[in-house]
Amino acid sequence: MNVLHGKIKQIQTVNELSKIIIDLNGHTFTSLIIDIETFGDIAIGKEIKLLFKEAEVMIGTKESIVSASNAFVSTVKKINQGEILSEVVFDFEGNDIISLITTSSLQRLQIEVDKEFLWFVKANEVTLQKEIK
Amino acid sequence: MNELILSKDLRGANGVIPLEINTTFKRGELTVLFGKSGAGKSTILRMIAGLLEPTGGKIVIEDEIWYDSSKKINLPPQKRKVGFVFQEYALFPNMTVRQNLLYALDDKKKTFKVDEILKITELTKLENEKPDALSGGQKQRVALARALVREPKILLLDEPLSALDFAMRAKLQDELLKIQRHFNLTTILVSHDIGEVYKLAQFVLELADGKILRQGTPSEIFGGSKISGKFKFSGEIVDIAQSDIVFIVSILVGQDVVKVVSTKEEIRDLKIGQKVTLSSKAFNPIITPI
Repeated sequence: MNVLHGKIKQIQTVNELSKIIIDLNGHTFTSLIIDIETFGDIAIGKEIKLLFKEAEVMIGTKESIVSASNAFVSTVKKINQGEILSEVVFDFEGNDIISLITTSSLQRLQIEVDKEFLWFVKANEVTLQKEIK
Repeated sequence: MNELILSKDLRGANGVIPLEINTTFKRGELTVLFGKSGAGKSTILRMIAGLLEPTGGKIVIEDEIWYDSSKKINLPPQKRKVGFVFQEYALFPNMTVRQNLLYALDDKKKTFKVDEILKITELTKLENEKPDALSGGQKQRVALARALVREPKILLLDEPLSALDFAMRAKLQDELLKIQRHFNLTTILVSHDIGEVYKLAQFVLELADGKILRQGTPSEIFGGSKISGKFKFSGEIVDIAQSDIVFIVSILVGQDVVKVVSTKEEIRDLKIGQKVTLSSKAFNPIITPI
């Protein structure tokens, strides 16, 4: 699981659906959640954890334009190549972001350590977790 | 209501740590003291049992004052109706199971009490065996039965299951829960196994360095309820197996085993038998009519 820590910057709610904008060292993340009320006390300025599975992180070339709200260019730090699946580890502001893609895609995109790629995750795949004090 | 106000200097490896506890817990509830070793968990049990005198404070169990430093009340251990079970079974090796239980009986005429408890703990068939002939799990059941014979107002369990293997531990956890509910017995269990805490605790006191760090229900303490995922279940890990570079974690949810793909990093904190929250965003599940 990829874990990042940020601060809530903006909350937009339409009926049961909410879009939460989170600031992470100047980068903006978006998470979609439903039924914000039962999630409880979340407010602008509060610290929050963002969680998303490795398999939900997609990779594109640096110039790609994608619909995913959360798209960032980072350097590949490490690759763990398997027969069917491969893990690509990005260095994002000192945090490891892992993307789990097929080995055939790894080869097709010619992903290599030290090269820059776009990694992205859709807002509906980002789970929020309240910081436990 | 039960009340604990305790202060005592703990002598640990890193010098003296002052223990300061002030809490109440409900009658008939199973409360778990959770925390690293040296946090003061066992010390609290020993003070409740009267084996160690606090520097000051108050111990009220089922509205009976066992200790009150301001009123100079300090009941001796034998006057405190406590059932104490340790990790070591501490059974008399020269006595049979039945004799071990009879020895603990306050009113020797009440042998029917021993029969009743042997039955509830499923030890009737083993009543004439000596402890050496029993397995670790059976010995611990005898230790529990012996504690119950005293008709305690409070059951104090100091990591009673930590020496047992996983399967036996899971079985005894079920039995312990059954017995605790049957007698509606106020119980304090010391444990550092999160899976065990999830399974058994109605209330958790998390201790660190002699202080209460957090208190609440297991899901309040361990974060399951702090996740925004809408597709949320609790379950128990039954298997972790590698496939290619990923791991397939099998989780028992209700009667069903579901499989979840995890990475090496994720499974580092997971183990078989552990209670977990399984969650997914409301966007992911696919609905098909049947």
